[in-house]
Amino acid sequence: MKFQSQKVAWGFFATCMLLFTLQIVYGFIMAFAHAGFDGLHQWIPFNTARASHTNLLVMWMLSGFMGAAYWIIPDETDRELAWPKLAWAQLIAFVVVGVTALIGFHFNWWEGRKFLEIPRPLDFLVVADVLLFIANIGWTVWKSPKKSTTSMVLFFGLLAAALLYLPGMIPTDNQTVDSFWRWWVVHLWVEGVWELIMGAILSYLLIKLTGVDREIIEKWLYVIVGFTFLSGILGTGHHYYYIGTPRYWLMVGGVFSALEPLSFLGMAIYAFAMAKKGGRTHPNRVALLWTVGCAFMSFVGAGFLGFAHTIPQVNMYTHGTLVTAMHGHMAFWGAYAMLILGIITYSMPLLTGRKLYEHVTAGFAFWVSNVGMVAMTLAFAVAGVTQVVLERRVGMDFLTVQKEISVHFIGLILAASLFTLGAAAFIWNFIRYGMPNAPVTGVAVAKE
Amino acid sequence: MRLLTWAALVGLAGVAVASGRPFVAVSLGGVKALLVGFEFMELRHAHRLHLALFSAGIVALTALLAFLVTR
Amino acid sequence: MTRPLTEPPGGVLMWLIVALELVTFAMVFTLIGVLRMQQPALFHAGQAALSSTVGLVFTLLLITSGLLAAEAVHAYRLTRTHRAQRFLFAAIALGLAFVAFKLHDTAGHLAAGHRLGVDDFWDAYFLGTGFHLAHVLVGLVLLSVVAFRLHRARPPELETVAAVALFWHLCDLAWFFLFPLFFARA
Ligand code: HEM
Ligand code: HEM
Ligand SMILES: [Fe+2]
Repeated sequence: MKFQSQKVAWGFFATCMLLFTLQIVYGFIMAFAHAGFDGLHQWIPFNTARASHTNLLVMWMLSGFMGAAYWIIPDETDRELAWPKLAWAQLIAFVVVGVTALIGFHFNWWEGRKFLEIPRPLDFLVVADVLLFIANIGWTVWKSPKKSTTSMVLFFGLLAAALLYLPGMIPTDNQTVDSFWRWWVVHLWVEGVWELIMGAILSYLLIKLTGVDREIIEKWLYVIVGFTFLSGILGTGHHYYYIGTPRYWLMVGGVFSALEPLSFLGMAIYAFAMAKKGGRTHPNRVALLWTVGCAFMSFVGAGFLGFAHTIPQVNMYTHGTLVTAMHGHMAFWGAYAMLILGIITYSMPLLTGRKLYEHVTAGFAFWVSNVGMVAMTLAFAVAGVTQVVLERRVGMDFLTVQKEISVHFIGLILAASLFTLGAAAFIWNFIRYGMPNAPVTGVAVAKE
Repeated sequence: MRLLTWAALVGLAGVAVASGRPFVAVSLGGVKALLVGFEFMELRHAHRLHLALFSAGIVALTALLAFLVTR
Repeated sequence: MTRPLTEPPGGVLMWLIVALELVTFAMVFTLIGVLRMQQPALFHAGQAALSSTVGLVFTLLLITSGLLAAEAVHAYRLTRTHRAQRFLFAAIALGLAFVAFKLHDTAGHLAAGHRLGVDDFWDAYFLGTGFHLAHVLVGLVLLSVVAFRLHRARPPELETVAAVALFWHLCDLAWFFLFPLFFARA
């Protein structure tokens, strides 16, 4: 590693591994409940498991982004982090808030708004914590004479993500108004500013791993990400169908969200082209695999499967069913989980000085988790389509349909087991890497 | 050439309004789009493939819209 | 002279943008066409409130402005910078006239009770022409930035001027289809 303060990234990545593990546990609790084995119901009812599963996911994504930023920013700006101690403090605070929220869910302390279940007082703490993080990397970038496009995009993406958390806190007692603002967070995160973060991390990884000129990668990747971002803003309309918002959202959402897959396709093609162009010189091949895999799987999960239910006439039937869960899994996995696992795979050898990327478990983790995730997506798809037909075309009762489709969750459990095998290999590798003790090679810029 | 193109565009717009028929107006819209593409966007000087792609796109769109407005 | 595949007039980046914009506009037009097909009576009533003369004025403003932008590129290619700048300013002036007239026209519609949310026709009308207007505004900003820089110590490259003009022509293209969909009637 180049700078001493980059070590803090390891703390965030370790947190990711922990939260990821817990997320999978709650996923299984739900899958078994769906399949008819709800033995834990008394202690962990479905709503608790669901809130825990998705919030752990969001938490580890945020933790991964912060870790990635603490790793990338010193490298890109060529200096130590402004306040390394603050970074550690901010990590601990983040974990404390997260654990509090998680425990709270089990005592019915939650808000009941999908993905934003964290209770209001904790919301403020999350915002404060993330602002400390933004200040830390912002000051580091500001102080450095080197302002690369990548570090700027990363910074502004993270800043915008922090600010976009606020609309979700606008108080209202109207269900429609509440939904309206909730999507400003959920949608404008994953299909808006998070894509800027994704673009920055992807371009950092491609620059490092393919050896293609920075100018080429930065220019075109940011053009593509710009398209995704712009279409994503008006694409928010695809959540405003039939929820009490004006009718014209059908047109706005339909047109602009249908455009989003184009840019995901562009990103996938671009990543493949760069990997090919750059040759295979970098020894950390698995990291490149995760990087290109991320671009490809986000096209499949977000672009293709998102498109599958984004047209109003289709969404009218699929809204809020397991079809959504099918898309949600593959999109989050492809776009953001793989991205974070990619930057972890890239940085761990440099953090710890060990080269475990040559070990079989590294490639195994990639392939098995991805095959597992594809299988999970298929299981959700079959369950989802059956649900749509029975519930919304045949008109059967919700609970009757849930019974009908419970058998598909046996399939899901099998697929998820495969996925978990891959995930376990990744986490096992992470543990074997050990502590971040590699020698510091960069010349530390003296603090002013 | 540019001035001539402009005159043609004005003329076609006039005809479209005078005819008042959606089918005619859409078709003439396609012709106008091709004219602007060839002359103002300078596709006349571009690689043949660019010219072909652009023309094909405009023709397809015009055909689709002309079909829709006559239904 | 024929250009190579990698150098379309105006540059790859702007052509990429124009191509994506055209795809977007094509989707918008198709949507309008489908709505029109599904609800002919509604469209008929809505169109009765639109004047084809007004539509024609919009068209003339845009194509004349487009001609001026094309002339500016030509003059700049011949390194006649002053002439190019005058053409650009003239193009901008007509673009501004379009915006002013559009706002005036829209004010009239609003006064008559035509607004977003009334029915599918007015939703399509305001969203479609509004999306077009947004492009005109962006185009005007681009044209202005380039026009004011022509006399700087480091003037923009020819390709930049051509790229901006290209975006401006895109606004014409889009209008050529919006116009018949809304303003032409039997
Ligand atoms: C990285 C990108 C993406 C991620 C992580 C993602 C994730 C998600 C998640 C978690 C949901 C469920 C949200 C909720 O109900 O609270 C959702 C819903 C949805 N997504 Fe995405 N998505 C992404 C991109 C896209 C794209 C590009 C499209 C369209 C082309 C799309 C279309 C949709 C639609 C239509 C819904 C609503 C489903 C419903 O009505 O229940 N998504 N997405
Ligand atoms: C390996 C084990 C996993 C299992 C068994 C599992 C299972 C489930 C189940 C049963 C649901 C609830 C669906 C419902 O509402 O009925 C769910 C929701 C969700 N899971 Fe997982 N999951 C797993 C891993 C993951 C991973 C790795 C991700 C992300 C990368 C993820 C992202 C999500 C999301 C975004 C939702 C919410 C979907 C929606 O909005 O409808 N899950 N999961
Ligand atoms: Fe969305």
